[in-house]
Amino acid sequence: MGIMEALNELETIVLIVSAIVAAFFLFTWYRRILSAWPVNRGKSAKLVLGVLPVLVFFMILYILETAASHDVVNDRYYINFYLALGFAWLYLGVIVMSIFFNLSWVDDILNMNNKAALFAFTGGFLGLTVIYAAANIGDGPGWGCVVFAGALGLISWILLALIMNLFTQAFERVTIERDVSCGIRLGSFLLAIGIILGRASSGDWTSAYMTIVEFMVGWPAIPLTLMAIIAELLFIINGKYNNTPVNNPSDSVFGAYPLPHNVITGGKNNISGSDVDISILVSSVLWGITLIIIAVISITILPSMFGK
Amino acid sequence: MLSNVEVYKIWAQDNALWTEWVKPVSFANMRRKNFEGLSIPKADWVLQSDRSAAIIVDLPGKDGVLEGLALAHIGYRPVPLYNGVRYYNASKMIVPVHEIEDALYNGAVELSGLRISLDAPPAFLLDSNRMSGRVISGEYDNRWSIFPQDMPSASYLIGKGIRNVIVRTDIMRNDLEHILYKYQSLGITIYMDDGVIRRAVKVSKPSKFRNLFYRFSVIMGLRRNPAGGFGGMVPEESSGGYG
Repeated sequence: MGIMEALNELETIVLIVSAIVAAFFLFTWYRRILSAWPVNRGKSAKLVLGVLPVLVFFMILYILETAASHDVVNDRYYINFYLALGFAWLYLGVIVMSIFFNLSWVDDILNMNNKAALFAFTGGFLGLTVIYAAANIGDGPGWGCVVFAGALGLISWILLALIMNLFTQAFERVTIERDVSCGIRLGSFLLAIGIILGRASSGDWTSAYMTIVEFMVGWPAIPLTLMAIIAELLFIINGKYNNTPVNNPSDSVFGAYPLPHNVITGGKNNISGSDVDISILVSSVLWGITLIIIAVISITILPSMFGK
Repeated sequence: MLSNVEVYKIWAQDNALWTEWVKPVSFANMRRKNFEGLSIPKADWVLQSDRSAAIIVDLPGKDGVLEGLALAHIGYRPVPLYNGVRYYNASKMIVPVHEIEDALYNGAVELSGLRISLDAPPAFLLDSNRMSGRVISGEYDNRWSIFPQDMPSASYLIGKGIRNVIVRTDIMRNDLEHILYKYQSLGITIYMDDGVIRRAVKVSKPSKFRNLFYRFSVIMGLRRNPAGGFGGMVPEESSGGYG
């Protein structure tokens, strides 16, 4: 008996654990949103956070009903099973973002009303969803192959985001500087690499080794990360930021580039404790859209190295 | 009698520069009662409002609030950063936040009578007892910590013309060092003032400075409250044994 077949023996336990974790996750999620005080503070953030689980529910459901394994698409039991597993996955993902990205939906978004964190977190949440949903695409012997393929995507996603942060200090600029433009770019980046790595995690299961080999189809995530790093540095170096030399050269591996200085000058608006340059905000939105378009193109047009 | 939201809005005035940083936790759980007068000290350790200086008041209990109100009288904007949740049984709380909340409640009347500029320099208010106290089973653990995310970034302060940060305290606490070291590294001068003597200090680099896991690891040792902030019962230890 193969390891995946052996894992299937645990299916009922996995369902029960997933259902409990998913229920706990959703209960905690909405309880925190509804009990955040004062009620009128951060209404848009609460709305976005409130809609996110509904949105990802339908995203995962659509994939399960249309592109999952042949024994899943028409089976209500398995669809519920993978939905519960999906929300347990997202619970894990939220913890991962809190640990590795220092990005907390409770602390940064609900408690501090940090709009930059809202954009970054939303992109990350959707990126995590895409990886899980895509890991369900294709035929396979059970939940083990979904978790295995998804874990490859998740680990790569974390590593690429950490590399991005190593060169740009993006997480700190989102959570401490409350740089909304950076939050938009970071959120878009997390979603974009999620799309590419999701594609890499998808496909029919043959073996663990072949899943790893076929995962290499996610190679466009690497040049996309490099592009995102370069763009991020250009956004930082851009003359639109104040370049008063008060920055610590040890702030990043690039050393002497100036961090955003956020000095109130004409054309800047105060949003969520940060001063936002509208032109940078607009170009960040455009860059974010570009990243996502590149990711979508890469999974639909670019030839894979391994013919997946 | 003001509602909790009205009291909050006095301390977190709309459009004021530092309102985003005011922590709502202390206001959410306030007990409404008749206003009592406060004995506000004179902030004679600060001569006048200095627009290039931000103040961090790190004093125990309600002293921080009273000092903040004294600073408000000379033009500073007090910004309460208290993040510990109140428990109905005051004797069970590890950090006694009830007197802070009472002072904030009573101070609202005082504060509403003052005309403070919307862009007045800030006086951030902290409770120096926030991490003190032993965690005992059956008690309400409302210890809390301050993180770099809880205060404006160094570049934001500099952008608002802040060049000096004066910490009103007797001892520099580790969580505050994480914030002050960053401020210092970006060119802000840090002063420590115990109410008698003010001296420029060089903040040492704290361990885990800028570590991505720092905040998570500290929070893991505290108890979150579902409504925000920190506060939760420490479970009673099982008596064990049989019979």
